[in-house]
Amino acid sequence: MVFKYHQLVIPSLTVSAGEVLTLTGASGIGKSSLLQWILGVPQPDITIEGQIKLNGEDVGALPIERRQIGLVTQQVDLFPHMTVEQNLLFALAAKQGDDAARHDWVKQELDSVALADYATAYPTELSGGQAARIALLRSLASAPKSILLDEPFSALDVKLRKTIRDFTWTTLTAASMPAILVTHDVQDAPGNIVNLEDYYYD
Amino acid sequence: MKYVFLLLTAISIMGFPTNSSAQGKPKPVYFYAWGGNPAVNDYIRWAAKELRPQGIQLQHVKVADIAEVVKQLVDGQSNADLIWINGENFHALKQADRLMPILTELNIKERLNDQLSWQSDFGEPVADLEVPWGVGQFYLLTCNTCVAGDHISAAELLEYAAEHPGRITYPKPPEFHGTTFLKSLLLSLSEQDEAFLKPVDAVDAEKLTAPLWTYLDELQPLLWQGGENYPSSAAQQLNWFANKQLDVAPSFNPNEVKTLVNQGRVPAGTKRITLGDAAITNSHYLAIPKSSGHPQAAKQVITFFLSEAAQRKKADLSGWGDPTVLDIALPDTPAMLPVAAEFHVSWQAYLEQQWQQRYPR
Amino acid sequence: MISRMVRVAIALLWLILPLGVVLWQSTTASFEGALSDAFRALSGSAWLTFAVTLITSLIVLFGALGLARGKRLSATWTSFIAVPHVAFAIGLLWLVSPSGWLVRIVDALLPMWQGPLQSSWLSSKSAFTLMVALVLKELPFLILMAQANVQQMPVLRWQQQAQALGYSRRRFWWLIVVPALLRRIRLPLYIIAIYTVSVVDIPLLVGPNAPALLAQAVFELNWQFNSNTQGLVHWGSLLLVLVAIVTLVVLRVVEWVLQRWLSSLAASGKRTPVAQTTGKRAGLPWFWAGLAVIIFISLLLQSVQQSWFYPSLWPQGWQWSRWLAEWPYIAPLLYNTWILAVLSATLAWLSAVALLEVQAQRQQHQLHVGWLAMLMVPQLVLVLGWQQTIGPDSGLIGLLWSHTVFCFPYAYLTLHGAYHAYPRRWLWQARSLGYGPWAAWFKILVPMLKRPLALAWAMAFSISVAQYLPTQWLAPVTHPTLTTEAVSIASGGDWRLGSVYALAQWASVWIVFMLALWGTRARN
Repeated sequence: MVFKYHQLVIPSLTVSAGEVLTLTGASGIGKSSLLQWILGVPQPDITIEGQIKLNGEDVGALPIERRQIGLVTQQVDLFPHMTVEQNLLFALAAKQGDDAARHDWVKQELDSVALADYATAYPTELSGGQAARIALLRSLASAPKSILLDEPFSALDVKLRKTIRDFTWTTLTAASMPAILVTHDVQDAPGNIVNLEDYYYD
Repeated sequence: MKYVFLLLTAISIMGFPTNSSAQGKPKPVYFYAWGGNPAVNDYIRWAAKELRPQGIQLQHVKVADIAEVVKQLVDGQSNADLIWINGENFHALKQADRLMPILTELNIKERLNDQLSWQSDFGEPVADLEVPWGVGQFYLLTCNTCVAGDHISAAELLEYAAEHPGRITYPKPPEFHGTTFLKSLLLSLSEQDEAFLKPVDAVDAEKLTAPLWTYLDELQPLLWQGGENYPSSAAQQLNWFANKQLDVAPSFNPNEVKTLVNQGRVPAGTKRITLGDAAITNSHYLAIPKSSGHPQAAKQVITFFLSEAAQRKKADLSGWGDPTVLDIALPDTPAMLPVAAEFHVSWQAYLEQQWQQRYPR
Repeated sequence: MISRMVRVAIALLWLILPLGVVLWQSTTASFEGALSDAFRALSGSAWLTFAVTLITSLIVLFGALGLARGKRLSATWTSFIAVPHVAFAIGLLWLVSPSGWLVRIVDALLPMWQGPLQSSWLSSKSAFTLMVALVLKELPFLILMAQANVQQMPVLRWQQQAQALGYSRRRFWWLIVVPALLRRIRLPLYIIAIYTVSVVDIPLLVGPNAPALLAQAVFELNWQFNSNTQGLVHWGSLLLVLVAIVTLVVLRVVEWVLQRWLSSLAASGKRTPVAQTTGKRAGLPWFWAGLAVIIFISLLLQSVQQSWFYPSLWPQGWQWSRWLAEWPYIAPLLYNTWILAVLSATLAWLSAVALLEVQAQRQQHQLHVGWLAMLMVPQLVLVLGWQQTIGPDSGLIGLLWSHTVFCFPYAYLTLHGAYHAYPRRWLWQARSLGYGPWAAWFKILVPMLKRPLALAWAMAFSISVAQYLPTQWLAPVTHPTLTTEAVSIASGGDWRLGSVYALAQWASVWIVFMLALWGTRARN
């Protein structure tokens, strides 16, 4: 399906702590644009009107870095020029704390997913599943108030997909993190599903 | 990336200190002179070193053709303090009134060799505006086994070219060796007619030059590349001569037959022959433009260049080997060639134009 | 807002100002003398320039189309290919001239054969020699540009489909890839054509002179001091622009005809049985590398020989002290060259990066021809206009500006592909982790694009090092560079000394490319 000029009129959606809201719909309908808009990426080609509130505060006018919204995507997005440890430290760097404490924290996190041996490995040396776990840890490391998941499982094979899905939901629940998931596959969805096609106007 | 860039900046800033001097600011003298001959460049470098104790920083601004500067001077935008010129260029600057009278003031007339008839530069009176620096004599370099004897007439040259097609050529006029090649042919064909000492307008130039064009029409197809291309410079022709692509190369320095062998530019077994019975002889000069910012320092430079030491060094066969203009004996240098007087300056442009209309099609 | 200012500032500095000066100058220029006189004097040169440019461009075009199919030229070889034109021409001349190394080798192998070659084909100065030098120098550039574009096309997928339909690889290449490629390499091809139209230093060394190429003729006329040549100079530069336009139009027509012909061939559905000619082209990068090495060795030997006459294969005498003796005079030139190149490359590089960043933010991924405008106007015309405005003694600032005007489009062109292929999501990711736009750019984009960024800087550097006309016409006194000196000495015919300067020039560029590659080499 090709959507050229169309409108989406979406009613107010709310996500509470530890909950995952799933957005779905045919490709091209604007799922990713919507997600990017929430993240704070300017969308020069489309007109968007609306509000984003985090804990009641309107963040619509804030730049990406001040919205405190994390992002995990299909392409994983671990920075290829940094080791696993450096990737995690990079996310932590925005927070206070002395060097030793930060290194300890990274070590703990890696231990918790049994990847301590990979601290000095580069992302290209990781398997898909390993990278997906690190990516989620990294997103959480910067202590966001909410997290966006852009097709995070679609690059994984069926078996791994389930493992990582479970890992993700467990981790997010443990952190009582509100999250929005964009996916093609409704099987990915742990809770509420919103199909954007329901709000589609020509 | 950042490091690479910083490193580069550091290298380029620290690596080569500019030559600013500590003990007082030396006066710069911008000396515009042809830069194509390393032996000449080396001589000017030597002079610059010798002049430094006098508080003068002689800076050789190398030009491919001194006409560049003449144009700038005529246009009134040049920082030249000292220029190396003769002939056409002198004529143009004299007409435009761009030169400073210096010869009398420098008080060197008595020491000059009057036999060189330096008082007239291509038929144009020097009129105090320039100082002779050296002497040029036009002849051809050839190999011992190529041309017999010590001269070759125009007719003999044509014969030689017919026997050895593609082995003869000359630099493309208005390159001055090329133009002088034409003059020498003209002298040889006309048996040293005195008419060429007069301005073109004063004589029947068309009739006088007719034999030359008839002759060149015959010679042209026998030249290197059938006369479809020419060397751009005497130096280029010299290279081809040195590598046996050609049998002759023109020269304006009577000592070059020795210096070039010393420098390894041409193989041993190179000799000199005049084109016609005698060598067209002229002087080359130093002059100071009126617009010079440092005329006093420039005069000091000229005084130095005309000193006996500097003139001897200039004539040294291990270096430049340019004949002296002073009345001094230099026993080791080759004898001067038989002298033929230089044409009046107006012939230069006339011959160039006539040649250009006829030849490069 | 800021992005707008960035674009306006860059356009003003490197496009509008340089062009404006020339346009303003041309309105006040005296077009003395009749056009017919000027045309009579220069028509030979104009035709020759047109012919040389067209033939060179077409050989380079078809060469690149055919050879881009081969093995990719790696970045290391690219740097080796980045030999400054002047050094390349001086070395090539020694190699292929009628008494050069190649002929000497033939001479040594065939004792029956006598004396240096008399052919005018590869004579030291001819249109043919000039074209050989230009083709050998420009072909790798266009191959690189073509290969960079092929990489962005899904060639492998197309190829599988085409082969399933029974097309041979060669047919597939010419019928499917080439039509798509033609449009994409139009711009670099035009740059080569315009460069050929207006190049002066190379024809001065190896070009014909009876008549000379138009740019060289105008260059030489500009130094003549009688007043009627000034009109000729102006008519000549106008003629140069005309030749440039006509050449571009013809090249466009050639492209159109080729497109039509290829698509009619494709529509015919004819296919040849799959006959493979694989592996043959793998040696191609080695051809250029080999040529570069031989030219380098020639220059090196020339620079230390004392005498080396035909038919000697090896120098007959050595002068090792030449480098030492010459060093005090090379050093200030190196300093001038490097200062100028570092500053103008940095300015050009910063401008190109700023422009690309602004364009990327606005998601404008197209290569805009407008930014390459300065490469589409004959350089001689531009520099002549500047010289007549700011004079021949303009000092460092004017010179720096003139160099940057030419460095900037090359930096932009070199960096464009990599910069726009860079996925912006890396930056969003970093920013979502709490980093501001600058921090994200420096910590994520710069390390990930360090090689293309470094190579773009090196490219701008090499362009500045090779500049002859702007330096020679705008500040010959205050800022002689290795290039102006190399041309001046080489025109005096002493290859030994000319080689010293050519090598110093080459080494400058080579060191920078090597540093750029070495400093940004991949892990492991």
